[in-house]
Amino acid sequence: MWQYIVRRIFISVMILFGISILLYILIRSMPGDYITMMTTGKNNVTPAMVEHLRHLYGLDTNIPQGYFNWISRAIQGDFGVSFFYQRPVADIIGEKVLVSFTLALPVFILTILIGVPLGIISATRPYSKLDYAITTIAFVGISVPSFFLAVVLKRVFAYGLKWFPPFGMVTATEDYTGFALFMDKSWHLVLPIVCLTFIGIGSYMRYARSNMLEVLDTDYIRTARAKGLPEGTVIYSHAFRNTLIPIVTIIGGSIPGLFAGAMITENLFQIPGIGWYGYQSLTNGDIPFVMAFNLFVAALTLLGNLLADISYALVDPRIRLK
Amino acid sequence: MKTVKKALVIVLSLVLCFGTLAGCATKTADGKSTLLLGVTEFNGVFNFLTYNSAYDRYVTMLTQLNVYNTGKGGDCVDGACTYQEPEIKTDENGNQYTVYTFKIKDGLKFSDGQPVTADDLIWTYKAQLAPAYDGLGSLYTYKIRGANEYRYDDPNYADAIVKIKEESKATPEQIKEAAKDMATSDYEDESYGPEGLIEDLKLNIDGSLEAGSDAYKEAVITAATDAYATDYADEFIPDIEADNEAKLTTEYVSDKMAGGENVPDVSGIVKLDDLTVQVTADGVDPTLEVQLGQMPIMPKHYYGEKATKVDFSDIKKKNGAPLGGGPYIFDKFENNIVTLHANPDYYEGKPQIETIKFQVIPVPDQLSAATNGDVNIMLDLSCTPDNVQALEDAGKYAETYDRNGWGYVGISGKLLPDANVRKGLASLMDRASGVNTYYGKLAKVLERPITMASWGYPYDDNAPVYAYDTAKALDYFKAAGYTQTNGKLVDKNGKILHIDAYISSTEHPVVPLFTQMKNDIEALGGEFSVTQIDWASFSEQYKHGDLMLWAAAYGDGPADPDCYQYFHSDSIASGNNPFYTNDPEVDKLIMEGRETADRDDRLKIYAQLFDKIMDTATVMPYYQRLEMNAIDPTVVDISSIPDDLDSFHILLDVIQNIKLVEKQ
Repeated sequence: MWQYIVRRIFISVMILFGISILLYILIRSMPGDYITMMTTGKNNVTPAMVEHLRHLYGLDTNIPQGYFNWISRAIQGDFGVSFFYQRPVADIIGEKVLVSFTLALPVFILTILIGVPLGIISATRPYSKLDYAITTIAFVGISVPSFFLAVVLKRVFAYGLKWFPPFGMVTATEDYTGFALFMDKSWHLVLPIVCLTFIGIGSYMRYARSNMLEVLDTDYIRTARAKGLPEGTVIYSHAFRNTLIPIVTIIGGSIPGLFAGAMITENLFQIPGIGWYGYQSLTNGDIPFVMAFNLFVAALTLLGNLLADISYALVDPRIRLK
Repeated sequence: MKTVKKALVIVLSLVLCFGTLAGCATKTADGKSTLLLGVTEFNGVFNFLTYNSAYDRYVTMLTQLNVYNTGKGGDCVDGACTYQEPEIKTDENGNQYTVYTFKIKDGLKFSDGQPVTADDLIWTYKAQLAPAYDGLGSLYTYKIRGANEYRYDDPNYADAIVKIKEESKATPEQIKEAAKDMATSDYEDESYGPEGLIEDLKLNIDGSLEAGSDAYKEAVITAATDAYATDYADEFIPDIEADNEAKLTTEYVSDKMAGGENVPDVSGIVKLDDLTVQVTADGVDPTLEVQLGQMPIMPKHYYGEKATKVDFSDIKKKNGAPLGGGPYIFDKFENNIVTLHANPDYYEGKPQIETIKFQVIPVPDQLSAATNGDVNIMLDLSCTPDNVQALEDAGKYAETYDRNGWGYVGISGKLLPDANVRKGLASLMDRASGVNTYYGKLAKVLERPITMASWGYPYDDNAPVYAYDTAKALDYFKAAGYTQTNGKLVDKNGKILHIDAYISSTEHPVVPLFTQMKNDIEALGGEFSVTQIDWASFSEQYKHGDLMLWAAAYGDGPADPDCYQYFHSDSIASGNNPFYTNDPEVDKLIMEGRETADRDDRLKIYAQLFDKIMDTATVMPYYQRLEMNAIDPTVVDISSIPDDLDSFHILLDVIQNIKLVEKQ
């Protein structure tokens, strides 16, 4: 197992290196760099200014030289200063990731707590009206774009019923601290959490349902029923555990994604998380931030895959990692 | 089913409990007055030297002490310094120069208690002239004596520049290379090709060569190259020499900007006493006063502690914690909310409102935030008929004024070199309908390429130059050599008039105008395509002059009507003049406008200049819209808002005097 992990980590480093090259080439090849966008239409900008700014921001180098300058600092942990936010990129990512995590963690928990049981219930009553209802909800959740759902939730619950605030993390006119601040933030996060949870339960529900159906069709379940065990014991003591095997791997693989942010939802609800900052940096040609953020997401993805594979080996004794 | 119901009830109950429990939370507010303003975004760069967003600038405006404040129309009025007119003098060689004297008022302090002195002002000027400066200010482009020597750390800067100019002369080889590039491009141009080259340049090509063969191509290009290099050398030389000069300057700059302290000061910026600074600049430039005056005095002890002229990292570390002597003191920027508290030591007296907060509000929610009272003032709310009506219905106050900016349609002088074609297109623009469709009565049709907010707008001389007239447009196209054949508008080579128009957003006010133009051109037999491209691509093509017809807007410029940057032919190479306005008369008038400080004289010059620019038909002014702040009159005492506000002298300039409604 350890050999496998070490080998995977080594391969991941190589993959990250390749991703960084590809990313840098792509972003330097995009039309309109940061300086162009910053100075276009400004009527006091002179050619000398533009040249000087390009030099200061390292945009007067060719792509290989620029990449070499970046990687030689990145290897030492210096991911540079954001063009747009004028702060060290690592500091911004560190701050904003926590904000996104604050939003993503309750979504993650609720998605599992709601999606998996619904899938189990649906599988134990296949092709019934309940099953169709739950499946429909799941597909609606999977299909509805997050921006659409966010706008509907705001319209109904924020502007219509005025139960929740439409945007922001805190009530601006108050200076809450301590527990009051925690409750205020919780109140502001209700709608974004509901939005992301609704979108997320569909996939867990479908996984749970299909796995459960498969397990319920196996010989050992037939044996358990034949032995006269109560249906509840059959479902929850025998079938459920085996259903969880693939779900645990999916959960393990999703954990790193808790730190990657939700760009559209964060924007619509004005949650200053890493997703929104990542989008802003991309549209403004903020090369240091784009590089660091996308490599961060790539690293999380690779970590997620590794965790999923390890989880599989841990929960299923039939699986051996080599 | 019962289980499902139970589960749903529990979940919904938990959700509702969250909300009600939050409502029961206790607060720690100190009961003092708070004003909440809505803005579109913050980047957290609250530093005059490094900000890149207008909204970040709002925070610096409230926390910093300005040399001069901005009065109505953008004029300089008393601020930390008592206003003093610049003095224009003449030296022994007959050359004019201008002296600006700034005397700081007695007893001014920064919010940390340190006194405001001449050293702080000098430091602030030098920071903008330093090689490490990467902000949007352009102070270093002005002719402040000693600025370039300081910036390039070279006491012999003037000699270096003379040498660069001498070494930039175009060589015969470079002229030939440019001629060859043009000949090749013309050969490959489908609408011109070898036939056009042979006919226009009267080339003598060997008749035995097969048309289209490589030998034929080489022969035509070689002959055309020789013809261009001989007869059109003067047209290539300016661009070649500009390129040469740019390369040599870049090498010089790269070499010199690396650092050094050979020149620690700017000879033209002098400290006369602890509170007085004098700045001397060569020539007369009426725009320099605003550059020197309408900016903050930054505390040297705070920002300049460890900064050098080549290393601003210490300055940037304080981007998120501004310090100044303005009416408000920065407290924090958290959760997209900036909090400021009144400065009790502000020289004009402690502000009426104790706490000001700025909250970031997404654009789609801004109107609702204003009408629902979620914010007390919504800054820069889009001024559309629907928004104004909604504010009225909600009992909110709409403060409007001419926006410091103007919308236009650019007509490329490079891609549409025939002035008659450009004039024809200008005559096909029903701008009144377009403005009315999009803005209703909340915008005006603009007739000259300058914002109406500027004092330079020629109100007495702005009759329309190109009225909407399809018959007149057809006359212009015919004058350009187009004819209507079989229902198509074609040139002498049978090519249909095809116009490519670009916009960066489908929400743009030019959409009704381009729709109308498309219908009219197609009715005449031409083709008109509209493409929406993202801002990054738009900027890139704009800079390279690759847009044939486009819609954009200028905004947030100075009140001064100087338009060197975007209409002078020198600005073409930099991409700042995407119109390719290349007219000697325009250039001459632009320079004349810069050489006198007399406002009446300048008004006359600019009236002539804008007429001349309109004559080139490279830009069609489109709209002058309004700027709007939505104010809640149940919170803000409207009578305390001065009635002389405009797009330069804005609400935030006087916020320290605004009162809140007394709660009963």
